[in-house]
Amino acid sequence: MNTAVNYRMLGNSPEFTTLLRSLDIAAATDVAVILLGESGTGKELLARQIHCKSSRADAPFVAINCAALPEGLAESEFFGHAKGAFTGAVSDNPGRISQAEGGTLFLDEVGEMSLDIQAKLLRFLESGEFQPVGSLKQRHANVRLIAATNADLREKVKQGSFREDLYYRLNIVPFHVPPLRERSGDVELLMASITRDLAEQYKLPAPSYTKAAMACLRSHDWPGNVRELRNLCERMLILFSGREIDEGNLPREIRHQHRKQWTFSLPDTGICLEDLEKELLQQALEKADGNQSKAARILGLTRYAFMYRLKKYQLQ
Amino acid sequence: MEIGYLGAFLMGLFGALHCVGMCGSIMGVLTFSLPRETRQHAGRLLGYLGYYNFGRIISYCLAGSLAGAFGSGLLLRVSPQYGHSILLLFATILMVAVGFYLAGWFPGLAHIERAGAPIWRKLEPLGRKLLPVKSPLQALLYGLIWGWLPCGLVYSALFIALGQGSAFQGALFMLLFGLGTLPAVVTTGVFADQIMRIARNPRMRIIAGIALIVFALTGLIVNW
Repeated sequence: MNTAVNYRMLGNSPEFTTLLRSLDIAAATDVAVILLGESGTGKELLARQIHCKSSRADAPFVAINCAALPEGLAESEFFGHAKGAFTGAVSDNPGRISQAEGGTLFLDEVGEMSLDIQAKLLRFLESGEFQPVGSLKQRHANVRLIAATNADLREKVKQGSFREDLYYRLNIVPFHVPPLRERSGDVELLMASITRDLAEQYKLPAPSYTKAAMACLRSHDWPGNVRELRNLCERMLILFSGREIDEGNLPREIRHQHRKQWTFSLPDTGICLEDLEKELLQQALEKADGNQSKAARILGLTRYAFMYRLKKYQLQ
Repeated sequence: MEIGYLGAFLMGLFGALHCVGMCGSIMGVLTFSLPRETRQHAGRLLGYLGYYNFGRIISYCLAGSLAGAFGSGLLLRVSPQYGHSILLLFATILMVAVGFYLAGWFPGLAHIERAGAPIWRKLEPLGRKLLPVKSPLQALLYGLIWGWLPCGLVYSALFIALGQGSAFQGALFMLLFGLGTLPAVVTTGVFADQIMRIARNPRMRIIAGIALIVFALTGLIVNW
């Protein structure tokens, strides 16, 4: 639970600044919004920013990760419980919705809620009322809802794992958070800023990146988005503090993606191309039980080209 | 007037498909932040949507008249004889660039929106004071501010308005552009999901981009 803190969102790309401007407008209203985007794009930080810029900034911001709630405890976690409602309920628990009173309730991974909780949440969203577990009293809460998901909720509705009525209730104003690979120019900005912050935190001199390394990072797909970038910055800072990082120092998965998805991986020690070609020809012959036409087809060669190579390497 | 008013309308119509991600969400926020009784009354809701967009288009016209006046002055100074041809070529190149932008082949065009960021920083706090909107006047005033929201597509249209020859024609060009954006922006406030799906379909965006490129090049050939 957090009260107002100024969360600075880093990004200079038109794709991201456009989103920030739209969210600023949303923050000035009390409309429920849903943030749609891949994992690691900063949905929770954006939700906190909406809260901090809203008229509810002085009230609590309560975040619930719906995917992390244990099935049996979800209802109690959301709506609270009365003392003695179940084994282990030794005292009253107000629940997260009550804790967010007057403020913002952020539901992360909203697509992962059970159908039972979805029904109860829908009722709360429509009437503002809910019933704690084991209590006969209806309670009321005034909260602003911000939801987030990286799942395709419409697909979940089709599969029957997400209520259609809740989908329409949440999907009133959707905002698409762009993945890092679509944020032109933001990789350099984030790398510099995050590295600087981490260097200060770890009290280590920040490393620098060569042009080739930066080009490689720019063309990386960043499937883990800003979270992945932050982890990389941390790793590079610890391994190369105060030094210059070249393309070769970057993790293998980033270097390889930058180059191309090769069918074969060339070992660092190198190979003899002729030996490899001989070996491939022999393997093809073995697989084809000595049938040269079939072996040629396996290697994508004409029979003539295959025969020529056999002759060249004296393999017949 | 070389790139015609029809071009301005088409640019708004096709372009809004691309910008619906931003303006559609804003329209959604503005619609759903209205009092419940207003939203439940179709006539009243439509009235508010009209005020928002009327304000937005007035701002486009104002910016268009400034661009038109500035452009015509520049034209007389630089080259009265060939000025129109230069501006026609300039406008065509820009419209083709917008076509490429819509199709997703030239995302760099979006960077021109940075030019308007300083104005928006000054206007945005005024806009916040008007939210949540409770009266038609507030809706109109908010629309006037919304019209200055940085947008690559609007700025491209303004560059073309530079060559329209006068303040009036510049304003008219931007009026048609604004009217072109209406169908997508207004309906997104109500049918966000469906419109977003169309707008995010790369094939639709390519078709819109190519249509605008073809239109711009045809205009160049006809008017040259």
